Amino acid sequence: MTAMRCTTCRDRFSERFDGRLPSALERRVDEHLVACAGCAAEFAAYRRTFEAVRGVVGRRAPAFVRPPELPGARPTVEPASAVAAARRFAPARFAAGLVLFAGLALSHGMVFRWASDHGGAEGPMLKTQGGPPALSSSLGRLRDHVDATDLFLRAASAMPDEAGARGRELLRADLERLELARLTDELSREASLGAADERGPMFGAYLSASSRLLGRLHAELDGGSLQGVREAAATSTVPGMLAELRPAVMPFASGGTFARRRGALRVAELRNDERAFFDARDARLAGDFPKAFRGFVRFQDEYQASKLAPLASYLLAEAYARVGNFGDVPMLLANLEQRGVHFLPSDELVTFAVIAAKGPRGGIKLPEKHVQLSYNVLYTKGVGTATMRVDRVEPMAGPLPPNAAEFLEERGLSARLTVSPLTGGELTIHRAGLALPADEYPKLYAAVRQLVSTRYVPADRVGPTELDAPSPAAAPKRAPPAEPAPRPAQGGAPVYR
Amino acid sequence: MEQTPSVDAESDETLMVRLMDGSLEAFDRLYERHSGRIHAFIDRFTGDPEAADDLTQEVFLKVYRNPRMFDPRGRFLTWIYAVARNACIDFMRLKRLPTVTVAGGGDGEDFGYDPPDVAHEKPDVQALHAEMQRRVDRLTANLSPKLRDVFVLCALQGLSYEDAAQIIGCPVKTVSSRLSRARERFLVDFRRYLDGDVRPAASES
Repeated sequence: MTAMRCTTCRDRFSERFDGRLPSALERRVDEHLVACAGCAAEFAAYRRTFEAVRGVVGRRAPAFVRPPELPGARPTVEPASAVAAARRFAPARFAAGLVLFAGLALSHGMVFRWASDHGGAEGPMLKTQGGPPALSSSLGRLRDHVDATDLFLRAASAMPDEAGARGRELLRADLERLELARLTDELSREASLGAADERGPMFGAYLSASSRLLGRLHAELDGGSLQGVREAAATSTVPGMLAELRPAVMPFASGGTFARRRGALRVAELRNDERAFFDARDARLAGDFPKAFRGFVRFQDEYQASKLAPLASYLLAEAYARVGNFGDVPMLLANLEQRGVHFLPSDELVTFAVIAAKGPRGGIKLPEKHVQLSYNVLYTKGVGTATMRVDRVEPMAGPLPPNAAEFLEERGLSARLTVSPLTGGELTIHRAGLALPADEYPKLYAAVRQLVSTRYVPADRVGPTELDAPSPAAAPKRAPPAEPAPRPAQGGAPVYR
Repeated sequence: MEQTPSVDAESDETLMVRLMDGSLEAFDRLYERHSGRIHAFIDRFTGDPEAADDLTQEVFLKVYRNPRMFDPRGRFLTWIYAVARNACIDFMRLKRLPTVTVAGGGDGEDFGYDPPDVAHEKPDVQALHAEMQRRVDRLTANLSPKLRDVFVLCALQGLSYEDAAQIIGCPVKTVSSRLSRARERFLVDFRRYLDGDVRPAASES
């Protein structure tokens, strides 16, 4: 391993000071500090400064002025319902709870007398004092468990063998995300309390089978193979039970009497959100991350209240990371080409990619606020922000083009570019050392900006349309590469402009 | 932090649940525990001591009026910091605050802190606490807002990177890199000050 450079070492001072470096890197930094007196002195000063700074407290806060209208005026609530209400506001869960509860009230008529003039599923729920009835909550938990198990088994069965360790990693993340272990624990606890009656005789068998399955899944995910995971699922009795348990715990799922009589709209919505979710999810499992990305974006737009929304947002983030991650360029390429999207590597912009397949403007549609690209730049006198208006932003992230990186490296700097439809864009230039001549910075900024401002547009989009006219700020300052060397392109040769 | 609860064993989250039930005593305890650090955070983030008093009141008023905004499964501390941060951002947006400049040339007192090139002497920071505090306030105010909140949360208030990430709503790595830049910048200004150049590096935009 080569010796660490002073600039690299100093770049790590902050993390070293906080003890946040991975052990191997920390060792290298420490070795450098032992070997280099300059850096050691610098770090000692650094440490003393920030240790001293950490102890500095501010002024005391003034006493709280209680507003006159408040004491006693705020309506107080029953403790139990307050705790229930205090749970994260999850409209989908709430709505699902209402629907489920109403469904149960109907199908198990003995639980609540259902007066037809209530006119809505909320009736008995709102009238209940002291929190939701045990029936709804424990069945809800079972439903969560069945859903989670179902979801996981679908994911596992669709994961291709070639995914290997990465596939297991994804599945393990799924398993954690779905909180199957916690749900199983909770169900077991309930079972031991003897609250299982209304869930029928199958409940006990399901619980023990799914605990066993969970154990095997964990073992396979940690040290086994994807085949093992699928085998575990196939040999378990759990999948067979799911189909039977689902109607039991989700009375509306069968689309029967309940759906026709009450809340048909709500039921339809729930079914739709599941369908949309699984479409996107299937795309994700098929490795088509751009499609999964779009699917989950649409899902989030349309079904914010869905119970699947948290999972969807996690999968959206994952899909986005895969779509926009330049660490995975070959995969990105494959996916883009499969979608008929042109991808053009060139000498200069090897690590750049764009997704420009859909939409009249060729890019993923962005909310207004993301149209402004903001650059953090290091000026002669400090860090500042520059903004640039762009017509469209393609999701991308990753290192700078090699020549830009080299350019920075020579000057003891490093940078990273992120442009995302979710978070906007940022070009961050890190200063790695303290020895850069002051007059370098403006030049540096101009040079780097020039290097990253070249944009890619498919040829069939280039035309004298208003939309395609480059805004002055975003106009490239660089001539197009002499030979773009296009890939087999469907829509004409891509060009830079 | 200055207000570590010792005998007060009830967790913040429990207190919040009690507050949701209407317990004003729970609120008082939360205020007593956290107003100091929230005030200090706001003070440094906005760079406006007067506004800090008002904003602290405003933040806790929000807690007081709408305790149900809080999700008891989350952590109270990160939540209230996030509320405070949003209040600061709103405030600064409203005021369109220019970058606060360090005008501290007048006093010319010794900072009481070793210049970094004298690396082997120990600074007597205790005795010069108040002065240090003023300096830190000024130099912190000179950071760009993006760096400032990370700096205040992590470098001054000692929060973990993870907590700061949650409060700001960004990845942990971003916190780490911003903190690194903030410290570097802070140190540069600090040294410039020690070298007798009282003008800080101006924040440009």
